[in-house]
Amino acid sequence: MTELHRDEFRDLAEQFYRLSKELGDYRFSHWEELGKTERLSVESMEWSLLNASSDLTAAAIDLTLDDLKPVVKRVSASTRKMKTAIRKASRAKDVLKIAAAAVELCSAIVSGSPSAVAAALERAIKASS
Amino acid sequence: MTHPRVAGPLAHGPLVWLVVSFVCLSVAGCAEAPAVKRFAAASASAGEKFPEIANDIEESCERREKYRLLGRWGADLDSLEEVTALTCAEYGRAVSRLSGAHRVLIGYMKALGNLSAGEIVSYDNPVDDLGDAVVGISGADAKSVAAVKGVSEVLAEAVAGKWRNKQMSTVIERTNADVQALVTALCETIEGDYGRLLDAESEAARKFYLGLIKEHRGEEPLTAVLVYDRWLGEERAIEARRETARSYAKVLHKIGRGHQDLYDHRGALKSKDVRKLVLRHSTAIEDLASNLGGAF
Repeated sequence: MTELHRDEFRDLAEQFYRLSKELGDYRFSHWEELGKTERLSVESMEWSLLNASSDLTAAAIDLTLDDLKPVVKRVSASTRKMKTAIRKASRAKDVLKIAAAAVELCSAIVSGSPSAVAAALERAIKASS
Repeated sequence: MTHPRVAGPLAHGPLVWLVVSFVCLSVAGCAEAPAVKRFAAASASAGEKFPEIANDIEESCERREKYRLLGRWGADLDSLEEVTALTCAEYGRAVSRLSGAHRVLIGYMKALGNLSAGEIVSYDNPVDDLGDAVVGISGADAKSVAAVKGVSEVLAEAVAGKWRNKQMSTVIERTNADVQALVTALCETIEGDYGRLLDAESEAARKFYLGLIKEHRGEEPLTAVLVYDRWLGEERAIEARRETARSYAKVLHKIGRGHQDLYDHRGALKSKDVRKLVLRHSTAIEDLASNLGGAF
């Protein structure tokens, strides 16, 4: 037997729902003409169709989620990678220290103070090591 | 006229400004864009509503089943809850899986936001250390300290910003297709499938209430009016839930669209245009989220 696609489940669900609704329309608009037994019989069919419609919708949701499994797995992996990348940010922080030390050295040179240059140079070396 | 020589970096204005200009030019846009962070935060905040919507998939089944059992089959009231819960257990399992898939999407968005904001990276310490160091330089005044701090902040941001952008664009590039697939599937389920289940619930309510009204309005007209009112109330509640689901589907579409825009411009994540685009999606999500409450 050919397996149905989730969209086919959805189409069938929609058709069953409409049939149930139309039968209901018929039962309510011919309420007086129909005998009690006939009404009960029509109503029973209406409920069967409505339940079938909802079960098919539930099946479509299940199939959608089945199809999503590999997608969800990959997105989760990406999220994990990002979290790792964020943790690695401490390395970026080290880079920042080096950059800051470089700017300090730059400003010390600009200030023209030999002792400031020496101190800044020492800090730049420490930051880089 | 001669001016007194000002000690410190500002005394060498042109050189300092050369450094500043060089640093600024080396980065595309000096300011960090909070746009992705806001986009992610808006998505995550709106996402808090999702569990209620998803749970209603099972609860709608239970309400529908109660209409059927009460109206048609003269159900045993003592076992009604138990029977409906048993009948709808399958829906409950689908809800758990659906919520799990949604959590993955929101978790991803949060991580993207954190990465974009570089929350773990603190610039304060190096910059403050530098400020202190400059104070120690003879002749440095407050303006000089501020100027050097400013330069170092820009440089620090340039380094961290480039690092983050590289990470972000790689993640966005690799994940976009899956994010789009996830968003599409969640939308189909929330707007389409859940919408159809609400249609079925509404039809079940009609069968239940209209059947009772038709059957008893002759002998109990006043009761029939009250039942009719009750039915209208149920219909309004269903419509409110449907509206919430539609609005949340729009949120999901915006998340997908925003991520697609990030993907399309992944080479220029800090550009003004991208920032504008993403902020527009964020605002739309925030607006939609503010109208999500009340139905559940």
